Amino acid sequence: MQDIESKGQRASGVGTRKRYKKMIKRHPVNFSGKAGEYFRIWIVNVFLTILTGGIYSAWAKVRTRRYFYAHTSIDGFAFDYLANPINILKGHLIVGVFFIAYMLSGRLYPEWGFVFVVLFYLFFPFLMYKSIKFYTHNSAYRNIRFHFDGTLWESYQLFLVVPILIPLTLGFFFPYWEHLKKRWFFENSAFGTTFNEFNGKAGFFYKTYFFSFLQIMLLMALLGGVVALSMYTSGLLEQIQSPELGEMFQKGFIVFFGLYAVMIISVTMIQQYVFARVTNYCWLQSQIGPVKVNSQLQFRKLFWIRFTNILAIILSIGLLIPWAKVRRARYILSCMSVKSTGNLDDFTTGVAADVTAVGDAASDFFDFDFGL
Amino acid sequence: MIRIPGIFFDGKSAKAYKTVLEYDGIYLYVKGNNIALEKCHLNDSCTIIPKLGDTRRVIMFRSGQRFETDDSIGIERLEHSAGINRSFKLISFLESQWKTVVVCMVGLIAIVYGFISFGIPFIAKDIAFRLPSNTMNRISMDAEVILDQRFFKPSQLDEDRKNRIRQMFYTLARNSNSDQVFSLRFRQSKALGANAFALPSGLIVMTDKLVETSEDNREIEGILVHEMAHVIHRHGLRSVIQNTGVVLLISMLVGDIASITSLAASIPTLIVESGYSRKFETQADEAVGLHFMSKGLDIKFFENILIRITKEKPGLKGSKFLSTHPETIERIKHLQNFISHAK
Repeated sequence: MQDIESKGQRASGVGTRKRYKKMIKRHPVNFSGKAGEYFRIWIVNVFLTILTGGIYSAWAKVRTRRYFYAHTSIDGFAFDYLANPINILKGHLIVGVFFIAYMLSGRLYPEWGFVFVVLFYLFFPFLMYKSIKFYTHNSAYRNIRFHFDGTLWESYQLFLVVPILIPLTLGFFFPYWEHLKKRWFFENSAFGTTFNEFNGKAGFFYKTYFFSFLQIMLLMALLGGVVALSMYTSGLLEQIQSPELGEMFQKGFIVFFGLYAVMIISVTMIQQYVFARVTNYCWLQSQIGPVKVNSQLQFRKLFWIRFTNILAIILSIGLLIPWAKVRRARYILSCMSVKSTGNLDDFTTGVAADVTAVGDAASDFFDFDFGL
Repeated sequence: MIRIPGIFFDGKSAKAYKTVLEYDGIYLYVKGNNIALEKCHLNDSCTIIPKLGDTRRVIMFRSGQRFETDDSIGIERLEHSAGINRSFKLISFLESQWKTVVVCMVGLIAIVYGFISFGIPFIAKDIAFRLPSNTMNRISMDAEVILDQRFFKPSQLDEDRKNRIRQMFYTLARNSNSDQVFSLRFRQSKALGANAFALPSGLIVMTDKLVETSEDNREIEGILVHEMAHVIHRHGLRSVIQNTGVVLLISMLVGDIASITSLAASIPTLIVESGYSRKFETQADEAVGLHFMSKGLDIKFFENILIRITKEKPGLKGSKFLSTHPETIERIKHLQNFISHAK
């Protein structure tokens, strides 16, 4: 793909009539991260984090993100993550205190857990908003920072008010909610001062979630059959009727682990299916000034990578985490390319705003996924 | 004079300028076609982003400009002569070699091991004994209500039997050499079988089945001393604090990619937590050993009831992996060792 375009570019000086067409440039997204090098950074990160009682975690986070960003390049220029570790440290401290309070009170006063859940839900839209703001503001390409223009009020509507409709409509509203979230993110994102135009339609989300719903149903039926069969053959059904808790526990253990494994596989499958489809679609429906991002993620490959990654991490007691991360990033980025119909030099920076890191830290701790 | 060729962004647009960065010992200059940055002070108006693997080196200027270069050596000379990023030099040295990485790994294992086996238990003990006893009561009250609602029915033992045990219990409590207040309750529970446990407030609950299983009052005495030891040493609260510490430590260890590892992290957490609770069981057993020795009783009575309780639930025999009580035989062996050493 790239070759055709670069040939065209070379010929562009010949005729003025053809110039507009020849302005189209296609660039692959290159990822040059190496598992071995990242492994070393990762080990030092973990070591220093533990050694400093968690304080280094902020620097570790910036170094990790920077490593992946700086190894992702388009047209010879790499991305960069510019967050100030001190800001992230403040966020980590706030969230850490909250986390300890939650853990202790949950175990000492069980009914207080409810208070924390309510507090968390009230606080969640704020964290989400801050998190996206901080994350975009500190991501840059060619010294142009990204920018997010959504408002706090919209975040509260989206994450506190609208979700109420989901149980009221027996879940039928869920795909629409997913659509709203993606639209909120993509519509309000800007590269410098150039906003992204997003034309995603809810219909696509309904289709995607309908198919994943079918998958879940199919898997559940299959699972139920397998479990019933294994319970029948191992004589567990008789055990349940007798009150002997111990023996049931022992045999149930094997069935439980089997169930757990199958559940992880099916959840991973559906996650990757939705991720691949939605990511491809959202980029297809986006236009950042003269730039269009093309994403060709394949569900099967993503699932295979994720599944083998989980296995590798478990079997290596976590030592292959860096390898797994690099491997997944390499695949995802290899599926992406960028097409521009204008001059990339023309992008300009926006107004730098002060963005605190509390949200970012929270997203790290609780793993909110606002999916990009 | 240090000269570093590189690319400059003016902080306003995405346009990249070919430039040369110069440093004369005090001031930085960026020079190129169509672009010239006024001289600026290295320490005040720019940040040299620390080295990270073999990624391109970057200098960010306060007013938003950016200089990037592949001339890593040039930037290192600049850092060296201006005395910036010294600590990061050490970090990138650690990251750059397999030798140092192995050292870090060994250090990491040592620290984690030290925290789990000494640090966390020590801190938990310290905190647990600082908390006033009315905190213990408040904590236990919630647990009492929940347990009574979910697991227990009123006891159906005859009053005579209960009173005899109560008498023994209050004598033990009086002689326990601690200002802890103890109380005893009998409850019936199918799910818990023959069992007894203690809450931080000093409340000890005994199931009907346990009383029925026992063949001698000295067996019950052993169980009571065991549970009282849990209360005196504040094992309940300590295990809550310790387990919180372990979750924090492990989440720090694997916190990098939460989505996969959260479930992988739950297994090591469980293993460490069950190790902690074994230590507490052992300590409570040793208290029984000391008590029996001081009264000149045969430890056999306590051992017998332990064995009988274990026989009551044959399913738990093999599941050493997750059991909260260490395998009974190991417990008995340890107790016998302990007594022969104490003698």
